[in-house]
Amino acid sequence: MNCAQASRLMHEYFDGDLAHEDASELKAHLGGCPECRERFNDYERTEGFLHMALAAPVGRTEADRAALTDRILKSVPGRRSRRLAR
Amino acid sequence: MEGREQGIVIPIEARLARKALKGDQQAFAEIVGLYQDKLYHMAFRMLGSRQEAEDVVQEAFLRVYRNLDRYDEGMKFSTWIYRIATNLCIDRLRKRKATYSLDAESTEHEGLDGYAVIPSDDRTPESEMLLSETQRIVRQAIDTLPAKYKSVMVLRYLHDLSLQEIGEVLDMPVTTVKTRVHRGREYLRKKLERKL
Repeated sequence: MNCAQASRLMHEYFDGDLAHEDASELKAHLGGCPECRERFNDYERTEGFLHMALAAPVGRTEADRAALTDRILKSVPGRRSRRLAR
Repeated sequence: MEGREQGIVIPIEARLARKALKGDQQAFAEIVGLYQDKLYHMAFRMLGSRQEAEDVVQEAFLRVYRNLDRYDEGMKFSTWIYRIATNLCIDRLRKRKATYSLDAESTEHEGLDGYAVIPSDDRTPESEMLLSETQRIVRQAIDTLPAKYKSVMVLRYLHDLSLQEIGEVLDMPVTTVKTRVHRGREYLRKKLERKL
């Protein structure tokens, strides 16, 4: 396996799509190639950072939430049920 | 029996959608309750602005309401609603880019394809404080991604959608999604290796 193939398999690995047999080949390559090992570690770090940064709470209060709900419900035409109720 | 049709369990959202379509406002309010946070979080991560995220969420629910009769129950409701919201975010990002390009003199902020990117300028101090320095650096790197990569990365890392689901949301082949995730990941790896 060359480094370009290893890089492709790394992406498959981080996508969660790496086949079992490819995983052992990739592992063997990483064992003997410090550059690819470093690259793999970098991807792993990047993955962690992405999850952390994107999934972090957005700092919204219950009041923000209620205000937006109100705005949404006021923006939709509620004619049908209201007319029936009158 | 409610919730069942020929022995098949109807997902709660589809049931609510049917009720809302008949004019049941409470059912629509429940849909808003189920998805408001998810859509807001996604829009905020895409646009980096509270005001714009709220506008997009409101617009998305309005579109959902207007198009309830066109909702195809063969598709997951979440896929449908994410599609509507993602498209609105992508439109805004593209418009921003277009506006920016018209009077751009500097090419300082460039994304993957040389697309100009504007930094968002209306984050509130509270939201900034919640981000550690590391998070801020990562967020800034993500902000420089062009819309087509950003949407894929946000759906992937915020909502943990599978590549297949992302393809359904964005209405594109899974091979395209894969390429974009790979390029996005590669870009961010390079961008972050010098900074963190």
